[in-house]
Formats: sequence, C-alpha cells, structure tokens
Amino acid sequence: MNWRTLARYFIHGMAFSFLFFVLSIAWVFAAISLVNIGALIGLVIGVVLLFLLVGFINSIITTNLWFRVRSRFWDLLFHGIALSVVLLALNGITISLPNFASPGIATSIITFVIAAFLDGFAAVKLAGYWRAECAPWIRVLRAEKMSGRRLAFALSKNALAIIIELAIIFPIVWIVSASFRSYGSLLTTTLQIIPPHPTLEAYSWALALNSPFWPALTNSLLVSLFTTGFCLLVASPAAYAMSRFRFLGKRPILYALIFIQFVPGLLMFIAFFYLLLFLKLYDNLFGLALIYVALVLPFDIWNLKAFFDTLPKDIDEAALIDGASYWGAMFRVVLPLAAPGMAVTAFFSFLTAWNEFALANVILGSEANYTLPLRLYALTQRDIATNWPHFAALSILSSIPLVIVFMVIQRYLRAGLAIGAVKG
Amino acid sequence: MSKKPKPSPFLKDIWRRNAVAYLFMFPSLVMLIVFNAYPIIFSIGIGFTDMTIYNITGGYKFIGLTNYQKLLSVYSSQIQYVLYKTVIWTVTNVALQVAVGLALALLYNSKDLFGKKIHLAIVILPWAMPGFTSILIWYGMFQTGFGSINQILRTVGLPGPNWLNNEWLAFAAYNITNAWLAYPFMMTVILGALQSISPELYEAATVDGAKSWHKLRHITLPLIKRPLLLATLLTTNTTFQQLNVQYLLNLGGPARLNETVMVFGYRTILTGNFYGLASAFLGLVLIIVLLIGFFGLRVSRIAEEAK
Repeated sequence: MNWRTLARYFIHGMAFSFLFFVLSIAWVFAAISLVNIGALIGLVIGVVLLFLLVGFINSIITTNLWFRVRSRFWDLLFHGIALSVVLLALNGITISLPNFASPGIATSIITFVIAAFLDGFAAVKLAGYWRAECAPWIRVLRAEKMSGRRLAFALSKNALAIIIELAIIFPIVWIVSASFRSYGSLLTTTLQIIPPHPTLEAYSWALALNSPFWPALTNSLLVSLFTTGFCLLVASPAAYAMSRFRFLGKRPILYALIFIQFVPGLLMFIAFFYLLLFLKLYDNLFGLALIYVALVLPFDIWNLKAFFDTLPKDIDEAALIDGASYWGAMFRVVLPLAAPGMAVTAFFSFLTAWNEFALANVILGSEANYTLPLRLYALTQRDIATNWPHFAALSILSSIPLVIVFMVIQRYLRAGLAIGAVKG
Repeated sequence: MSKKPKPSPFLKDIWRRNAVAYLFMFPSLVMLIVFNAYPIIFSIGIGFTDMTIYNITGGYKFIGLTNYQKLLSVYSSQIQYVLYKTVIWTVTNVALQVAVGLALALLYNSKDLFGKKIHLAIVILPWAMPGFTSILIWYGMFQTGFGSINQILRTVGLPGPNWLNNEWLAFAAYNITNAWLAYPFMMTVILGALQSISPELYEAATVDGAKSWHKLRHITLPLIKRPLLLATLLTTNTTFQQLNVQYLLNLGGPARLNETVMVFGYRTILTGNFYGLASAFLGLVLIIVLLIGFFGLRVSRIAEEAK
C-alpha cells in the first residue's frame, strides 16, 4: 500500500463526510414532510431513504475513485444498511470515545483525520465486497424470476445459517463477555451477555509486567517456533526427495510414516520420559520441543510431499538440465512455488505444539517452565476461587494472533485439504 | 514408461540418485529413528518389564508376559468397561461430526446464501481457536452455577443440572465439546468435494425432473463418498485418541466413569507406578488402532472400486 492509496482513502472519507453532511440537510427536510403522511409509515420511509442516501453517496464516490459499482435500488439499500452499521461503530470508537475522554481542539482534529482514513477504507472495502459477493446474489435472485415460495426458501436458508452461526460462536461471545467482567459480577444465575459494569481489570491483570501470562507466552512461543522451524528445515528436503526421486526403500519409508501417524502418542510417553531423563533434558523446554518435533515431523513430511507432488516435475527438471544442483533446484524453484503448502504445514506444526497439553503436563514439572496450556489449566483448577475473568482475558489474548493467522491462510488450507482428499 | 527424448535427471544414475535422496532425508531419518522408531520399540519392550517411576533409571527387570496376564485377569473387567466406553464415544462422536459437517456443508454450498465469505469465516471459527482454550471455555460453560448453559436453561425455565457430575450428562458434554472442535475439518473437506461437482450434472437432473432429494441421493453423495470416507477414517482415529477433551473437562469423570482407553492409559502413566502395565495396555491399544486403520483403508478402497 503506497501513499497514493492512503491519500485516496482519506479523500474518500472526506468526500463521504462532506456529501453526507450536505445531503442529510435535504434528508431532514424530506423527513419533516414525510411525518405528515403518518408517523409509522413516515418513519419507515425516512429510514429507508437514509440508508439509500448512504449507499448512494458511497457508490458515487467509489465509482469515481476506485471502480464501478452497481447502483440499483436493492444494491443501494443493502449496501447502505451495512455501511451505516460499520460507520456508526467505527466513528463511535474513533471519534466519540476519545473526544469524550479528553475534549479539546487537538483531539477533534486528530480523531477526525484518523476517522476519515478509516471511513474511506471501510467504505471502499465494503463496496468491493458488495460488488464481488452480494451483487451477484441479487442478480441470481432476479434472473431466476423467483416464485414467492422459492424466495421464501432462499431467505429461510439465510436465516437458518445466521441462527446456526450464533449458536456456534456463542462460547466465543461468552468468553469475550466474561473477560470484561469483574470477578464477582460473573457469578450470577441468569445469563447476561452484555456485562452490567464492564471493566478492563482482567486485561490489566493479564498484561501487567508481573502477570503469569508473559513467561507462559514466552515458553509457548519458544517451544512452538523451535518445533515449526526445525521441522520445516528437516522435513522439506526429505519430502522433496520422496516426491522427486525413485530410490531403494521408498515404499517402506512411506508406509512407516503412515504407521507412525497412527501410533497413539501416549504409547511413546514413557519412552520419551526415559529418553529425556537419559539426555538430561527432563523438565526442560528444549527437551519438550524435541519431543514435539517427533510428534509433528511424520505429518510434515507426508503433507509437504503431497504438495510437492502437485507441482509438475518438468519445472525442476528444466532447472537441473540448465545446470542447477539438486539442492538449488529444490531451494530456488520448488520451495517458492510450494509456499502455500509450506505455510499450511508450518501453521499446523505450530498449532500442534501450541495446543499440546498431555505431554507437557508429564514432562514440565516446575512452574517457571509452564507453557500456556498448563498455565490456563492451572488457572481453572481452583474450584470456586477460579477467577474466570482472568482466564477469559488470558485465553483471548493468547488466541487472537492464531485466529488471525488462521483466517489469512484458510484459503490455502482448503486447497491443501482438497489435495489430501484426492491423494489419500 | 513414457518415451522422452532426454532421460529425466531424477532417473539418470542409480547410485547418485539413491545417494542424493538419502542425503536429503538423512536429518529426518535420524530424528524419526531416535524419536519415533526407538520410542515405539522401547515402549513395546517396557510392556514386558516391571518398570515404575522408581526404577526407571535402572533396576527394572524382564518379567515376560506377566503384564499381559494381569491385564487379561485382574484388570479384565476394568478394561472391558473402558473399551466399551471408548467404542460408544468414538461411534457417537464420529456420527455427530459427520452429520453436522455434512448438513453444514450442504447448507453453506447453497448459492442462495448471502455474503458467503463472511458466513464461512464465522462457521470455521472453532477450528481457528486453539483447542485447549476452547475446551477450557466449554469447561466454564458447563459449570453448574454461573455456567452459561445452565443460565440459558434457567432462562427457559428448566432446572440446570450438574453437567460434569452425572455419567451420561458428562458424556454429552464431552460429545458436544468435541463435535464443536472437530466439525469444521469435516465440513471443509465435504465443502471442497461439493464445490468440485460440476453444476451441469444438477441441471441435467433438473431437466429430467429429479427432486432435490434424488439429486442428493444419486448425484451428491456418490460423488463425495471418497473424500467423506477418508475424512471419516482420519477423524475416527483422532476421536479415538482424543484425550484433552475428557481430561481437561473432568479427568474422564465423574469418578472415572467416562474414561476411554487413552484417558485410562494417561492416568495410569501419571500415577507413575505401573509403566510396564501401561505400556502393555497401550500395546494392545496399538493393535486395535492398526486394525481400525487397516480395515478403514480396506473399506474405503472397496468403496472406491465399487464406484
């Protein structure tokens, strides 16, 4: 993103505010005359007009600054509703809150500039999303000349999806709500999703310098990053060899890899324990990471091999004929092309190490070495004294980065799963 | 083989090819042998000794098949119970995952859905959450007093039971938690398979006057059978081996009533007194796992050939 794009976002936001200000005066007059028709119907028409106005302004600006957007009635209406909600939330946070907290001309100017950027950004993204996803939906509905029954069916599917999603994200909503509570206010017998007296106490506890969060986070990061890095480093040449070369003992090794993945990790626990005692790495993060490598490596080799198999052999053959070494062909040609596969594999290795509880519980004895799962588990095992808001804040802080990374790579993930499902 | 003008550089010289391949695999092979092959063999070996936490550094001795004899005599009823619970757990939970995954995939594959990307991003969220965090969140939600599930029940007017203290309610809690954790994988696999079905097939069926049920039965299901079977096989293995859900929610309780083989094995290891016995037990489990894997692969291969 260069400065021109940023400037365009800014211009978009400014233009939107200006046009909205001017046209909303016209809207106020229209609304006053609408009330004469009747209170309820006037209100409905007035609100619809407001949404149409928002959608209209944004589609004009977007068409002039970025790309063409459709501007039929339904497009404008839905677009306007979505944008109104987004802008209300955005401006509430960026303008109202700071100005409320510390009123002053400097705050007003700074927040206004920031809000203009953000509004422009949100408006463009929304228009783009509308064009890519939602406008086709309306086009399909119109093109099929839907009967009333068919339309009702389509709408009920949407309603069903939304209900299902609400049920699915309920635990996450609950934990977010719990994180904004004080210890006492959680212990009610009725459900209150919006906390009555929201407080940031749990977060300030979790982020304080002496909180148990930091050592646990450092330990978890060290172990997981070591596991991921080491596994990729070791697994990618092996996977490359398995994918490209025909060599003695290839089949037995491949079958052994599947076999190892089926063996219950628990079976190896005592042997791991023994091995770490022997290597003097018991109750040691490095020892734990070595064991995690063992748990992850077979999967990594297998998965990377499946990805390398999808790349045609011709590309690295061409490099080899041009005089590249095998090593060079792998590093310069194949690995860059397999980047999505590497990303997915890396993420899963990371996740396995990050989530592992049972083995860490056996191997890590001292509290200074606790990884996040152990820390969180210890936090919940105090019966009535368990401070759930503290747990909630910790679990949210430790989950957010992973959720974001997951959302970014999930399209590669789907491709990877498709390969896995086809290949077996 | 194909007739190529130039032989592939990967096939050129048999000695060089093998040497390079093993050079590339050398670090992996070392790791696999030291940290996978050796532990597996060693653990199976421990099954024939009287190792405990007190004599692990030396002094444990070979006692032949005594551990296996004990498992089949003294511990026989306990093991039968644990196996029975494991089978129920695996069957119900895999069925739940497949049902939820299939239903959601069919719903989310529909072109009537408005703003599909956002829907998919939300429905896949349970996968994005770190597993242990989700399990502990569910642990909080199943609490009797302030747990949100009982709060909802009370709002509706039902009494809130003590979920984790009743054998079958705890079983239900484990099932709900694991299904919530695991359905996105199933759904994503099925969705991928659904999206690869050509829409022309459905159009042709519509022209022929097929009802939507018939389309599902005769077009959709046969075409997604293979990925579905493979995903079911994988998820059967992971569900069978699931340990965190039961252990973190209530240690496989209440009162060890819902222990699966994994929880039983883990708790036996944790006491530190019966490493030999635990290894023998897990050796038996390994045989079961391999049988499942073997027959699973057989079944999916037969299904594939029948197609």
